Amino acid sequence: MLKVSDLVSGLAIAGLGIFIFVQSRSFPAIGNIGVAPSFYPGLIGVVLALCGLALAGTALLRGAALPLFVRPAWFSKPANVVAVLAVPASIVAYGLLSPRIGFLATSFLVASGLLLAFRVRVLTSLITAFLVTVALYLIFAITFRVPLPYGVIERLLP
Amino acid sequence: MNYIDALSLVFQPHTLITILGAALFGLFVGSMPGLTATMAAALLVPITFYMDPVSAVGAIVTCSAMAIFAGDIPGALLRIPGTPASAAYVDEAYQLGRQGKLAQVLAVNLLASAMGGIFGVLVLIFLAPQLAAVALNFSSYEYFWLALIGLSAATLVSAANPIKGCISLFMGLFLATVGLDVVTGFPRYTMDTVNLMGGVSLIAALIGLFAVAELFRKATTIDEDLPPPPQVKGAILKQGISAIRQYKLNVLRGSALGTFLGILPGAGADIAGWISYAVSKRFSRTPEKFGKGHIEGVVDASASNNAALGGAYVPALVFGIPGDSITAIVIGVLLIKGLNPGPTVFTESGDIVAAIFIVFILANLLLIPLGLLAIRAAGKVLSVNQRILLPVILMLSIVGAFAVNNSVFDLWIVLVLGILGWLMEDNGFPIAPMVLGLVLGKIVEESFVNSMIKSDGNLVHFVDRPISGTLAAIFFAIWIVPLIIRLVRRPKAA
Repeated sequence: MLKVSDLVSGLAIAGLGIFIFVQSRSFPAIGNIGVAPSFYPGLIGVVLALCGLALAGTALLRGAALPLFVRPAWFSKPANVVAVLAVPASIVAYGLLSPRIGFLATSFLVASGLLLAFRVRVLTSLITAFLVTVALYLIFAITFRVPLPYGVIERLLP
Repeated sequence: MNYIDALSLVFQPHTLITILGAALFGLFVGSMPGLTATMAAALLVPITFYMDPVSAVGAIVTCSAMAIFAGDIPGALLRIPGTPASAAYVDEAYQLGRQGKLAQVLAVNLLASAMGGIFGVLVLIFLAPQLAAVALNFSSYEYFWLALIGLSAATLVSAANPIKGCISLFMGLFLATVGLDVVTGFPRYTMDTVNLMGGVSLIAALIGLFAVAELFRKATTIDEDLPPPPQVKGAILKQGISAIRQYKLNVLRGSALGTFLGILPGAGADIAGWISYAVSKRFSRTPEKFGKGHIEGVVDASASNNAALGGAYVPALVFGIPGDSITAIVIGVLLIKGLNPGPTVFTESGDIVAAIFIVFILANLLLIPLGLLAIRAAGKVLSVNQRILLPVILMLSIVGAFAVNNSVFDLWIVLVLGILGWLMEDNGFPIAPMVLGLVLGKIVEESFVNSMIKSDGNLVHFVDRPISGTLAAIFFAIWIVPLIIRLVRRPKAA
């Protein structure tokens, strides 16, 4: 992954801490309860902000603030970039497609795409994707009776 | 706890099949370089969701015990630890392999792992109920301090940089606050979406942080193939038994140290392996042989990392405080199953706890025949094409995370935490404290709020009971003592 300087990550975490704290101020105190819902997250926000600042501060003091970002080695290899991008793409594709075209079609398409992105040969990809889809269907839909998204292929099944 | 009833819970065909399946899965994942025992456990969680509690926890117990041993296999064969728990002695094991003692070192790994595992379980079986009896007197004050001690120790142990460990922990604690407030029911950080009202799905978070983050990392090296593994020849067990006989005291020492380290919050199997190897070298009669292919340290460390697994269940079951990331997952599974880890689990669900203990022993006994099988099959397993394996694991992660709540939103949690976990680990932020924070966050807040309500806001009540006062002192000592030691040492060093 991208290597980020402690200065950048420290400041980002401090920002997150401040956001958490500021948000917590908008939580109402309810009734006569000793601790408001804002107390605990507010405390977490403060600690995160302080830790973030400490991290950024130590990086500056040690002279380790630069470079702010380091390009990872895999970035210069197109095949690896495709493989890395295929991971989030397949999660997004499954999330968007499965409610529309059903589990079996989505699973087969996503698995095939993923295998091809990992540079597996076309025929091997298609066969593996088919086997993976069947195996997942047998585990989740048949054995555990999970109501997986219903779609085009499921309608054809008995 | 009734062990007769517990036996009938374990020796059900479906439980035994589950255990066997989890064992084979654990051996496979553990053998694969880069895929950890924690990842194996996380991948099993969505599947255990549909099982009864004994099968569910039994699957994770068995899978993790197998994976920790199996991590030794690519260590000896390829000089690549299968899991971080084997990292301490991977060079030693590889050197032994190159000297033609491959069968011996793997047999020692196997036998010492099984013995260490059983030692850890026996300590768990005898110690946990005794501690639970004491813990029954604990109030919310004691739980508050215990949770803080667990989180602090885990944070300080797991990170080279304590600030980064602390940040990881508080990010986990923050994620645990998302959802309806425990007391007032007010929605916090839900971004006005109904999907977050119940909080961040623990299963989705575990899969994102432990499985998807790891798959991202593996995808960056997809062009690198593993070297061809050598074949293990000859009678395996025979060669190991003689070494174990010679170093029987090392097995005992590694097991005891591993169990102790496992009980300590934060120090799991990985650290147990390192410390036991170092202790073995320190007290060896032939320390000069270490690092050049000497079996002694391998005996200690192999026993130790498996013993730590059992030890880690002591704080997890007795106090609900996980000792490492695997027990954090187990606590999550127990909570999903409606069991409340803590001293009452021994009285309210004694049979289930006893059944978990039996599964633990069974898993360590099964380790020997199945481990032998894994050693024999190692050549074939390590030749599995990573480019095919990784997509298959990702599909299992996606469908598993989705199936638990049939929720697309859970997939977005998997994705966001997967990227976050990858970014964090590659920049020196440990993941384990974050998971512990996520699992324990609600307990910390609940025990704090309950204590505040009981004491009418008077903080003195947090420390005026003898046990809570002692625990508070331990908590502050954990944070202050290292600082004092650092301050005292600094002028001398200058």
